[in-house]
Amino acid sequence: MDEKINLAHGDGGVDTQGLIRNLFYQYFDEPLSNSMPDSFVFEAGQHKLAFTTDSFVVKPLFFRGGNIGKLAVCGTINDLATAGARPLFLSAGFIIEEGFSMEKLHLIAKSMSDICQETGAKIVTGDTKVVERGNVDGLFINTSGIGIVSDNYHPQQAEPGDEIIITGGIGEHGTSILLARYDLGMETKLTSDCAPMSFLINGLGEHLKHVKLMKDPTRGGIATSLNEIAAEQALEVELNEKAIPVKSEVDAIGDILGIDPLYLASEGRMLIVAEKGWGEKMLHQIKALDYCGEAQIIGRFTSGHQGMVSMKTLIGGKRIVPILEGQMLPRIC
Amino acid sequence: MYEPKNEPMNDLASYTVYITGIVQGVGMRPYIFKTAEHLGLRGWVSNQGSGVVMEIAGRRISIREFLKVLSENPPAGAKINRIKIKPQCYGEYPNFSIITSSSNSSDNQLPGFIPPDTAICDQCIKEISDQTNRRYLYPFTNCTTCGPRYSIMKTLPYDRVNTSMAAFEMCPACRSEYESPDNRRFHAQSNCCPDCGPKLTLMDSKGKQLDSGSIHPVAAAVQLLRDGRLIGIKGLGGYHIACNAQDEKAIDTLRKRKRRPEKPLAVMPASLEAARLICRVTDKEEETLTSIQRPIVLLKKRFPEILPKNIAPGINRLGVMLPYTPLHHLLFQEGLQYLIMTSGNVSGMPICYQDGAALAELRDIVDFFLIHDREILTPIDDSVVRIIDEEVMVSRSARGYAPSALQINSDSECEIMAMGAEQKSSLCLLHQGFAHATQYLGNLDDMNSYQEYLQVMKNMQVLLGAEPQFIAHDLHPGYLSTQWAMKQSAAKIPIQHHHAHMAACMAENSLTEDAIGIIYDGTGLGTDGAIWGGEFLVGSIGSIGSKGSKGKFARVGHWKYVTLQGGDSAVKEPWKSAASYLYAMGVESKEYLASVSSLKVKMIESAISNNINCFQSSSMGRLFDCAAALVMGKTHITYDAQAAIELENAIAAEVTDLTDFYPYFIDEKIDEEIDEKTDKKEEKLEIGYKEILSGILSDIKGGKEGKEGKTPGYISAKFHNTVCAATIDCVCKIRKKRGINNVVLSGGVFENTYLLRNLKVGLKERGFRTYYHRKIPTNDGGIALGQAVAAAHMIKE
Ligand SMILES: [Fe+3]
Ligand SMILES: [Mg+2]
Ligand SMILES: [Zn+2]
Ligand SMILES: [Zn+2]
Repeated sequence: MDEKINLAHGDGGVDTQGLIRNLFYQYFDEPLSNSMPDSFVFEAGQHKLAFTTDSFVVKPLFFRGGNIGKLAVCGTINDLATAGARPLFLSAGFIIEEGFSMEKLHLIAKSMSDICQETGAKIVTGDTKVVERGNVDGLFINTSGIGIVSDNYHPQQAEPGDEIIITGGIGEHGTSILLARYDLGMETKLTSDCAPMSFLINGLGEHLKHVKLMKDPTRGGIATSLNEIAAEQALEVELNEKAIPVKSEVDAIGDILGIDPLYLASEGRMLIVAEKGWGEKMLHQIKALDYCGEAQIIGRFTSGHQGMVSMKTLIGGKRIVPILEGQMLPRIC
Repeated sequence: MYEPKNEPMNDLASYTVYITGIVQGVGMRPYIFKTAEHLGLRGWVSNQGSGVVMEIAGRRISIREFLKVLSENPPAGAKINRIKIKPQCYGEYPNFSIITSSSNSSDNQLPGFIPPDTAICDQCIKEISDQTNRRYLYPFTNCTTCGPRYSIMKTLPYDRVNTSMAAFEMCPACRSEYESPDNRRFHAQSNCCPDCGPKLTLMDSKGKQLDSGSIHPVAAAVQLLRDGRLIGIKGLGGYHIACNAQDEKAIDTLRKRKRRPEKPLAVMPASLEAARLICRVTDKEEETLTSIQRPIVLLKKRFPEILPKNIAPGINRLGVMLPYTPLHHLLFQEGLQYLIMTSGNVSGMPICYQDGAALAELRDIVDFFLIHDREILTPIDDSVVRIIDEEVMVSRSARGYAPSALQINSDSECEIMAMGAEQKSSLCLLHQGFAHATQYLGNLDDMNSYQEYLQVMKNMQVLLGAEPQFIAHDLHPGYLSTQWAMKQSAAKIPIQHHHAHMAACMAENSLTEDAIGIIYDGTGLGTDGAIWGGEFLVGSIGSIGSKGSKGKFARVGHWKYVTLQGGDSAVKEPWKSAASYLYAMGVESKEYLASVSSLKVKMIESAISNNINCFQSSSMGRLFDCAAALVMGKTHITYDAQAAIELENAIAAEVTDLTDFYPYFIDEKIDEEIDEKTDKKEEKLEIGYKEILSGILSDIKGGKEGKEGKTPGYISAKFHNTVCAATIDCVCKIRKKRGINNVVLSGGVFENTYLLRNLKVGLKERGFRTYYHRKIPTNDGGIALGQAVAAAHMIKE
């Protein structure tokens, strides 16, 4: 049977995992840990370094609150941040469609440079290819990055009672992209949350010692990220709906389109697992940082071992927040 | 039946006799004891596993008479499935005795059956109303033929030590009843009395015990109910929230606190006579209301209503159940005639049954609690049934009906656990040729329901001593039941949703021949990734998954696909279905969905054109939602299937014998897929919705312009008639090609009485043999059984 790649193989869900496990691992070394981490951490001399890569094919290239260039730099910086690393050097690879506007390219490159300035990262190597019209849709960017891991950061196995913090409102990037991509006839002031999260590493200061793990809830939103975490840690997560920061526009648009904001991507948010008892103190510190004014403790780990995520709802129930398998298929009969 | 052949009848003989079926908790051993003594037979009887085993010795002719009595006249409530006898060497026994049950599962070769809970019997009612009886006003009175069973069982056999009654030691008076063969409490496992049994406690909403002084807690509770207060009452299978059903304000409070604005509430009248004052009760309905199962029966309201309208707003049926525990009987005092008895749960969560959790979860809903110290081990809701054409149709199979055991025509020895669907979930364990279907277990996306579901799965395996090697599950990867199945190491057998519906109905009706399945429901994932729900399938139970085609079945027709936007949210907001259908027809929605903001409508339209959160659907449930949104202006719902229910209700209000229908078209297409049986591309029928909806739109316009007769009731009847006509037409076309004359109706849409009845009549007129559900729910509650049966047949082949 001649199997073909379909879109689901790239959505980050079970099919993507299957592709990595069943195809790529046949040929590449298996990662050292049993799941492919966002960043690979290794020792070089006295230092611990983190290494990561990411490709960006977002449509449209410009959206409220950012563009593909900003996203490409933030994405890699944030992946480094999940490993407790501040970015040092980045690479940038551009695949450009023949006929692409030079002016747009200026804007994209400038916003990449802005984020670098803000975070101290340096783009030190790169590559440019132009392909015939129609071979890519405008512009694709790949970035890789190397960062230096903070001495204060020691990821650990989570335990029941550990608290989960989100650094700001959820789903704002995903919603902004929906609004930018399609003419939904809705006027809002909503912007993408796209932002670099590397300042958290210094910003958390000594508190970083009590951070057990971090994850950026991009593709699939916090629901997907938390399900991954719960499964890896072999624990359960209980969220509190009341505490989850959701902008009213995100909520309203999700409501109309029937899309749960828990599954919508953020590009400038971090899920932080704080050691039991440290959540409040950490939250206080985080709230004072840039982009983090809306941070909240949204839930905690509980002792079940089924790797499930649930949410105490506003009306007092406890709803299971399942893994999205493939497309968001209706379940209600 | 065993017939000893050519043997001298006066000989002495010994036999071991095994009886299986529902034979525990129904007074079987005392009955056997009495019969044996009467016939001068000796030996012993005992519960074993979930069956009864005995050694019987004496004159052959007496043994023969004994077996005849046993098989022809078993005690009420018993359901003997099989009597197996094995001759033994003649043994001397001093007498006939009842001996301690064997719970050793290794010597238990009997297939298991679990006795359901039953309503209090008339004799027990008499006792609690008799001032001179020692059980006067005692709310836990029961006997060998009545009382709790499944809900208090830890394991089989059904003996006191294996139930939560083990915590109570019988007093001398109770023990002597238990031990005397002439007493109707002889070996009544949950026997108790005011001296030795469970006790009631009245508490405030914070769980503080109220000192009612010398007043009986029941009398105090009655006073509180009369004062309009809400009480959380611990019952047989869980907590109820009760209030006076004649008190509109109390009901309103209950609705607000329970966040249940419109969903009909169940009413418990004091008596059958009281029920007759609020509803019409046919003979069959009376029989059902007073049966030992005592379910909630959906009865036609009498108008004008004497009970407040906020009990079941917008619909002309009322869910009514008669008192089924001694406690219920005691509550109807001091002029109380009707109680609201709704499940004690937080909206969307399962019924509370453990005291700690109940007190925590219900404290913001009720004012008081009336609880007791007999532990409920397995929670079980009230069952819901309706009577259609003199037949009982179970819509929610729970207390009294579940677990149910259905013998399966399959010689397969395999054990299968079937996972059911997602909503109205249930499980089905196929074990030793019987399909054991569990009670209704609620919606799995609720964590507590899900945990309960896993617990019941474990319990079923323990109770029946089963170790299923196979797991049957739905195709939908997002169902939690499927996700659980995927994590197990047992062999997995996926069964398509509507295939399962059809198999369930065929199994229930023991239909083994080829049939045409009309499966109308809300949502089920199809093999092509679309959402199905208006399906015409063909196959026989043994060949639906036949010859090398593992689980494939012939889908010979369906309602035309429409692009539906909104995922699960479309179910709660029927206007989204309407907007999707109208978009597909190229009709501006705004005019017909005036109550929805035009911005929202525009966004949905734009989302459809951009394929955001869209899917293809042939769902009949969504077509009904669309019609309800257009005809009734029902844009949002607050409980399951509300729009369709109200659409059906509108008919009764005005039109009864209308036969008009809208024009419709059936396309005959060549299927892209090659039929695996015939190796040919098969023809597929597609029923269109455009012409039907256009008809509705023009009638709606007519109504607005004041044209006579174009009322919602008229349009609804005409729509229902159209669905019937198109369906029958389509089935006739299939019969013509395939020569199949059996029709199977399944799927949640057949909870619609008007549709079911008219289809039955129409199909009969055209000479079809029609099969539909009665004991097994036609909704997703029946899916587990269908999965189990379909999987069993697939394994066999
Ligand atoms: Fe269904
Ligand atoms: Mg990444
Ligand atoms: Zn009784
Ligand atoms: Zn007693």
